[in-house]
Amino acid sequence: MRSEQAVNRAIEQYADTVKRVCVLHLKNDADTEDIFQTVFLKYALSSTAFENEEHEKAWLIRVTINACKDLLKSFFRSRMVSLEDVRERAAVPQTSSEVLETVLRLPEKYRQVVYLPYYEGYTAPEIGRILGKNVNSVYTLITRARQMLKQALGGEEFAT
Amino acid sequence: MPHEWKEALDQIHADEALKQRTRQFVQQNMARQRRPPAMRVVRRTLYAACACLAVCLLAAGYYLYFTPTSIISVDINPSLELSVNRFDRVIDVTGYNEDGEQLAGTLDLLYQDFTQAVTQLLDSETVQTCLARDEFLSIAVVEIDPQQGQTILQYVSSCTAQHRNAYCYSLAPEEAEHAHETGLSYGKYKAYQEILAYTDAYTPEQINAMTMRQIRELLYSLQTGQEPSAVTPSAGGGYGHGGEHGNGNGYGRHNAE
Repeated sequence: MRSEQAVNRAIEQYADTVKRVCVLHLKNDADTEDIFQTVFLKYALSSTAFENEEHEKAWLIRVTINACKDLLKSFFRSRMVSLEDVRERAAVPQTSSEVLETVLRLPEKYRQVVYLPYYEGYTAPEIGRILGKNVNSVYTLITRARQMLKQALGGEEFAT
Repeated sequence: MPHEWKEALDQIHADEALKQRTRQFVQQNMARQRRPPAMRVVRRTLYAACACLAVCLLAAGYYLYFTPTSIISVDINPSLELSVNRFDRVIDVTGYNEDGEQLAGTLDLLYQDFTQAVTQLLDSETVQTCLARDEFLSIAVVEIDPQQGQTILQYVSSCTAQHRNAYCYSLAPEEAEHAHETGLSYGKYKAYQEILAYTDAYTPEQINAMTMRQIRELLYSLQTGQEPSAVTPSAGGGYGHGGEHGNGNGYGRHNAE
């Protein structure tokens, strides 16, 4: 179990990252807050020794994605929400751009591979490690996500 | 990466309130995680102790209630025994011959106070019929708890005061310890022991089949050298047993006139 100081530092340092990953996966503020708190509790209770801050950040992103997936799996049976509802996400800022809206409409596996390289700056091998996927699969997902976004945004393409 | 995309994501922040709630949530859970091992051990120990205590209390209660502290052996022709616990309750009724089993089956003596049980037994039609036939009633009280034994003996003596053929006496547990091995009630076993002092021609089975009057007649004939058939079954006094009333326990009463 980590110290309260270590937990408070992690919350201060990685709160925005964890929140963004939550927003990319979840549909409302309540779920986002649940996962947000769960992730930092897991961090507090984990005994994983991090080599550096990058390692720590990657660990938090992976734990957040897994927690979101778990929640969505349980939601799928009892509270499935249509794509239209996704637009009404309370977690997404009212001023969000068309690009963000478009990304949020992508299937989950494409959302991750858009966010991780284009916002967090991870390389394909790093994304592969975080998501537990083959590097080639990551490249394929990135390519398909770019094509889908290009089509949706009318020619505007994400540059690598 | 399009500027608009980055700008949009930059708008997503964890506000201070969310961070504060998360800090509290994590701290509370950490405190709970730290506390449980000790608490769990204490709680488990407490549960185990409570369970042990409950088992011990049940076992002790069962032992206290179902351990006989006195036994009332009633022999006339039916032979039956009432085991009495320390709370003066009848906890077992055993018939020692066919008549005894039948009589035990017709009466509701179990878990009654011994005074009610003895009264019910003595007032029963079977016993009253036997007494009317001038049969001999023997009531032996085995005093596992001497104090209670004396109380019971006094009670049964007072109950049978009006019957001239009734004989109440006490027995020490060691005097009666081999009675059941022979299949006899305590009262008949005591008489059998007395008969054995004169002859070993009688088996416990034969003794068990006799009424108390027949046993007393037999004993009297052995003591006096007369034939049993010649014995006058006059009430009690002639049975040569008067000197033994109380059987060394300092208490006894023969209702013979």
